[in-house]
Amino acid sequence: MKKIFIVGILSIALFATSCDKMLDINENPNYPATSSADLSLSSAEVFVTSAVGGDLQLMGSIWSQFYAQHTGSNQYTGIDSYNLPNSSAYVRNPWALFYAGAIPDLQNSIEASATNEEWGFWFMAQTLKAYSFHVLVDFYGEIPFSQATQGVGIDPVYDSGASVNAGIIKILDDAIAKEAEAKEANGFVVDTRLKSDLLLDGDIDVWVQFAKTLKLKILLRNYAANATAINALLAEGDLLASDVKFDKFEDVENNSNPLYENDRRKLNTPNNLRGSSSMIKFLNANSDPRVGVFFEKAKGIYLGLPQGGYTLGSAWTTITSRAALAATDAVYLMSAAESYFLQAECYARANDPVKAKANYDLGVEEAFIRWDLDATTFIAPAGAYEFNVTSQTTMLQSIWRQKWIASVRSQAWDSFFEINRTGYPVFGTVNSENAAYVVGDLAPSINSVLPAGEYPRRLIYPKSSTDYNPNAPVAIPMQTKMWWHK
Amino acid sequence: MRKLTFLLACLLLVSVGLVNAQSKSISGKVLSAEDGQPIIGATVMVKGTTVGTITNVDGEFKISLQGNATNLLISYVGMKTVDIVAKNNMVVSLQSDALMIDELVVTAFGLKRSEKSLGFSASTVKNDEITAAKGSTVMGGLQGKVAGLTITSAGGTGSSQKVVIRGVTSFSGSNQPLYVINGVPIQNDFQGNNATNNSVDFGNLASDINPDDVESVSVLKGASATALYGSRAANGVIVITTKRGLTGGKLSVTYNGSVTASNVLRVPQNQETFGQGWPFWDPAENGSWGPKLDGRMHDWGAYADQSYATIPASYPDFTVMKKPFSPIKNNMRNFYETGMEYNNTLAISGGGENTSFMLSFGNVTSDGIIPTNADVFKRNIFSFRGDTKYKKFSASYDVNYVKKHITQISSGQGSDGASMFQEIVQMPVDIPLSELRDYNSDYHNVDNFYTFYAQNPFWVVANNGNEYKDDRVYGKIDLSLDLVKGLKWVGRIGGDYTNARQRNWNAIARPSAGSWNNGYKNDEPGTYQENNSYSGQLDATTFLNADYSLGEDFRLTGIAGVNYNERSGYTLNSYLYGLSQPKWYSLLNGTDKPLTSSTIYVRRLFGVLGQFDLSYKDWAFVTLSMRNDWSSTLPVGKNSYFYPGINTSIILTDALPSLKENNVLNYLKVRAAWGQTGNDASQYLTRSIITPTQVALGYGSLYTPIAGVLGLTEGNRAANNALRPELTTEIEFGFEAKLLNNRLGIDATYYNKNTKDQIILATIAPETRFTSQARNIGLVNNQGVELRLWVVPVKTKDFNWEMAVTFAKNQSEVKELWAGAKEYVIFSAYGVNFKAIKGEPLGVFTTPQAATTADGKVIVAATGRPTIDPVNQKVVGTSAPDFTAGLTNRFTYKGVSLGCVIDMRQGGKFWSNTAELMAFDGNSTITTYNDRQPFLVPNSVKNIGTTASPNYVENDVPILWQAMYSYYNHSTNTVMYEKMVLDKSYIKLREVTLSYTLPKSLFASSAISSMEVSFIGRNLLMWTPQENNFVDPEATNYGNDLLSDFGEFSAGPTMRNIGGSIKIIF
Repeated sequence: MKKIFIVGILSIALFATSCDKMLDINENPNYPATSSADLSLSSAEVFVTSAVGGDLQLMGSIWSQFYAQHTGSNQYTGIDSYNLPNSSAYVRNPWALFYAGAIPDLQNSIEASATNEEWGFWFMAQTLKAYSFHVLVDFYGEIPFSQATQGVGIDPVYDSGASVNAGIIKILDDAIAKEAEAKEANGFVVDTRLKSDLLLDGDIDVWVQFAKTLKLKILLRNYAANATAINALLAEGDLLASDVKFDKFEDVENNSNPLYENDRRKLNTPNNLRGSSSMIKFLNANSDPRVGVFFEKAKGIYLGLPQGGYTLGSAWTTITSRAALAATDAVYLMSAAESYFLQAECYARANDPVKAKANYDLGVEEAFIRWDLDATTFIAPAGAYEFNVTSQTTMLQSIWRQKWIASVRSQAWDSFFEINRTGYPVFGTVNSENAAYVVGDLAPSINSVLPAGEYPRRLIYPKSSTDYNPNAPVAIPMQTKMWWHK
Repeated sequence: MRKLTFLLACLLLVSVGLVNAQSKSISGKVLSAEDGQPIIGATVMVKGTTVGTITNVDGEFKISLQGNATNLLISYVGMKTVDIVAKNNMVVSLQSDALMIDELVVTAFGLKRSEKSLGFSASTVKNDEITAAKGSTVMGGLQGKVAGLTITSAGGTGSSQKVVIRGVTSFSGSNQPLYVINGVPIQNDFQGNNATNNSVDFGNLASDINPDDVESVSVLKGASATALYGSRAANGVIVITTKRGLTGGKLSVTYNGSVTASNVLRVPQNQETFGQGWPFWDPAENGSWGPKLDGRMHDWGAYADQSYATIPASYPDFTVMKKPFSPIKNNMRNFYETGMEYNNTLAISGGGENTSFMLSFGNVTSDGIIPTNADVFKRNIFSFRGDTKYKKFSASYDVNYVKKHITQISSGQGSDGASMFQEIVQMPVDIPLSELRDYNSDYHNVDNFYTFYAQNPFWVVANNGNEYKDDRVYGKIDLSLDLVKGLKWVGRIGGDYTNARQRNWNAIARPSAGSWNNGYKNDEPGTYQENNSYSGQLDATTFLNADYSLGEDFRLTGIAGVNYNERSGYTLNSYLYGLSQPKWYSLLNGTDKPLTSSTIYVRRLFGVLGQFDLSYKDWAFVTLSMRNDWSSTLPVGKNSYFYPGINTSIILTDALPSLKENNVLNYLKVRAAWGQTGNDASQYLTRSIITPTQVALGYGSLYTPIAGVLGLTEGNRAANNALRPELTTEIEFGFEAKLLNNRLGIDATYYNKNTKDQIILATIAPETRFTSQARNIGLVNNQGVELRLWVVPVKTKDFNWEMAVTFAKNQSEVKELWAGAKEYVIFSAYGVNFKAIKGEPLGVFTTPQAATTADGKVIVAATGRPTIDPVNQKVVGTSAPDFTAGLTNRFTYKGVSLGCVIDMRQGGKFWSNTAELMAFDGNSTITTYNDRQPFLVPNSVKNIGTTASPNYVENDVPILWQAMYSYYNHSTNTVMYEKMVLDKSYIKLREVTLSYTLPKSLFASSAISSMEVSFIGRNLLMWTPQENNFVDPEATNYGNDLLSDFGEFSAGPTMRNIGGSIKIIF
């Protein structure tokens, strides 16, 4: 009897101590434990592309009045009526794609490349990190920056938009300070891993231009305060003359342009996005051939749907132009056209109409060339888009108008920033079917939930942040202007 | 007490000492004292030996009386056991001990314990009750019969069953009980896809038990009862004991068969006033926002309106169809067909001197209510169960082989292909569904189906589908050895291994160039998916079982042992998007390469356990149990956790016999229990991972590798190397009383349990760099009462009426979440969220709410519709019921027995996407409010100022008839979501059975020894509150755990079964 108990107790004790090893099996065998500078960078590029080319491009396209929600379907009514609560996926997803996707991967890439002194990868990751915060701050206003992405346990404070921009400039300056090392690293090593740079195939020269042009763009949020720095950048002249874009899409599931994949391949109807009357009326009025690359004909013509007109009923179902999208459409992070328009604006503000015109013309040409079209007659004297040098205002409006058009099917999200920054095209008060409507103005959404005359200016802070970050501020309505808005 | 020790001593000695003894044969007959009818299956034992037999259908037995044995012990469930001197041709009458019997309840580790010694609530249901209505599952037969046990079925035959005991406690883990068969746990994974898109439900693995094989089911509810079972028992334990062969019995063959026809129980009710259009008549629309139905002849279908397209020259004989502009009666109901279900079991049992066996084969074949054989369920279960006793050694061994083959259509939202039910509910009320049956005709094919916004449901059924096949083996070997007097060693090893293969296909649907649908409807390129999975479980236990008397009055029994559990599995999933060759479903048939992924897992757990029971004079009992587990899923070094329990019961009527004197109170037991159960985490939560970059877009995804480049991203779930086990602490009190000569009984329980340190995937703010982390969080409290009341209103020689009522009320409260968190989103779909909110019951619905002024007036937009509060949502109710109740009635008259079971649920809510779709498309009856004439949103104002300085004036913007559809559309008027969270109450007539045992004289000279025929009906009637005129509130496409409490996303209907059965014993 006793013996049995002793044996029992002994065996239990032995069993308890020997099982630790058998229990140490909780490492997930399905995934690697670490990444590398190059694979973290490609990951981040895919996240950034998904965000700016997906939901942000969609919202930008509707709020810049390129597209309107169709009558025969239902998908984007929340966007088109300016009705996005803080629980909306459109508000939540871009935030998470940057903060829990791109930025951590970029930090991993920065750490790994710094350790190995791979300054080329380091430069790319640093620049893309600055870019990521730039998109975030311009969509949300105040954002977590100085304490962001430091891990569980640190609830980041939200930093003011101006201080975030200063921080982004600092990141870019730090990168630009290592320009030589980065170029050297990439210039002398034939590194097959450079193909991991899905945006520019490791072309560090263009990356440097990207960093500098981005810096210019951010400085232009406050021209008066930054004129000196802007002039220095212009003087140096090392700004983008080519596109920074993700153009490696195929017409294959999960490998296509994000907006196309979402809107055309995966929704049960491909008819949600129609051309907005605001854009199509303007293009038609100017016989702009780009109407044919931006939109599809409906019953032989290009006709837009009034903005927010999804409740106009089935009379509008068959007659409006659908937004043209392709699986292989590039996602533009920055473009040559944008670079020229930015420079043109700087020169216009500096009252240098000659350089302003030169850059304006280059910008318009690039915006046509992108679609294999020719802008020559448009920018020629008496052409529809001839640069108007009458005054600084007319110069700026010429530039902004062209930037608005150039952004269709490419940088619609950026157009949303620019409309807010410049107040141009004009925020109209009547819809595009009204006799008082001025072609080229923005028209209030027919289904707007905002008080008359108000437009969306930002994304409300996502509930996923405000509910779980005690340092998150109270919600700011989407129609509230940011400090740099007109 | 002395008797028992004597008996034990005899048991040990008998087999050795009496081998050479002389024997004499005794035959006799056992009758019921009440009606003189023979008792079939009464146990006849030679007193003081292990020799025994059972009576046959005539109540007769034969037994050998060996050595100096003189007495027989004759017993039968529900009868008083008789100890009588054996005489040849004896006739023994058993007195009814109706509802007075001290039943044995199977508890932890297969230990049989007398019901009265249990200090916790345990309900046992016998085979005849479980199988009364001949359903295909064991749990289905328990519906309404056990207080506090909530059983719901997701859909038709073969779909999963949700079993919840004493409310839900876990937000992200399992809330399902542990299923234990003959002492060994089995797997209970949900098979299928419980996501919103292309949902399919192939059932849960615990349903792989043939109800005819089951002897009894015990439901162990509280922590004190279940702790010994270890970490997975925190949600209760379903203890299943199967039938076994008897030694010394003759070979017996039993056949059970049933055939039932099924039809649809509930289809959504649609309005019958307005017809196709949106808001004007339009032949391509799939909604009923059009003109009033006037009965006049009307064009319909493709090309009815030439503004879309002209009839192609390839259709020379194509004339536009005509029909009256009238509602179609029973339109949806007529879409479905009559299903059939066949259920057959053949069982053979027998035994020799030392060994007995039972062999059974059960087959269920059902073809459900969906047209064609798109919903077929076939299940074969072979089961062998044997027992061998030899001297001090005994062995018990079971092996079961299960083979299933299921076809199913997808429910929920179609993804990369249409799902059927969504297409049906969106048909205009004047389109005759039955005329769409010929989906190959020029009028109703993919090219020319009348609407751009849906697919022909008959085409969907014929072309898009799912198939599931599995092979499963589970069983156990159980050895025991009597070591010394009062001490027994038991070793038990059980295994459960499932290999399953799932396939899903969506056919190519590409409207031809120039056809009616071309350009208006998305091309579906066809998809094919294969999922192969394995899951296995090994469970081994060894323990010592002691049983000693301490003096005259005390008895101590106990067990001490160890347990090892290992679970492992893999899945290999491959998905092909875009098919080349139509109707060839193979991973090789792609326009692109399939996307393939695989995962493996393994987890282990060691446990040390002990239980000690002390009893005094057979009326006072105390049980102490404890268990310590070490789990691989917790951080190394911090993976040990201990949980004890104690319970006590006192039979007051035995302690104080004077209580029984007035003959009002016959039996009174009081009980109390306190216990804890611990639980570990899911595997692989303690460390972080790096994963291939696959970015989810709104719809669709962007995956790496892309252009030959892989991305590796830091996982969004943060590691937690400080994870602790979760701990449930529960206290319960109860009593059981029998009154009025055992004609009335009551069993009542109150419990209160706290689950703390619950492990969930907590949401964290993305700016931290992660979106979730497995965390131990706060506290969830559940408390409630369970009542069972039974009464025998009539009891005569020929006629009996028994009635039982069960009632359960559970109230939960989320007491704490983690630091700073006010709520946790369990799930959301569209604008409806399902949350855990501090201070609320677990699982509440929130929906968008209208923006209001300070004095509560709704602020409307320029459209006249309410504007939305962008920050706050409205709590519109919990998924949990106020209470559930069941009523069973059984009438017996001679050989005829009539039984019926009604169960009900009062209160609670569920989200109905069906209701939402029907409001959206104008089919719902709520959309005819005010005859669709303009109205103003009540109590509303409009802002003629700005956001910064509002100026609210009385609203004068009506909802016009042309914009009526936008008012009811959940995406253009998001306050509508609130109306789609419906009352979940119901009353169901679950079972009606009328059975007749044929007089034996009919087949006296045949091999048949008994025969019973029954009429059976299941889910015959359902009542729901008026606001739910859409669906069976139990139907869901979200599986069988907490997620299914969210509701249904076009889950489709449930079934009603009516038929007959026959049982023959040879």
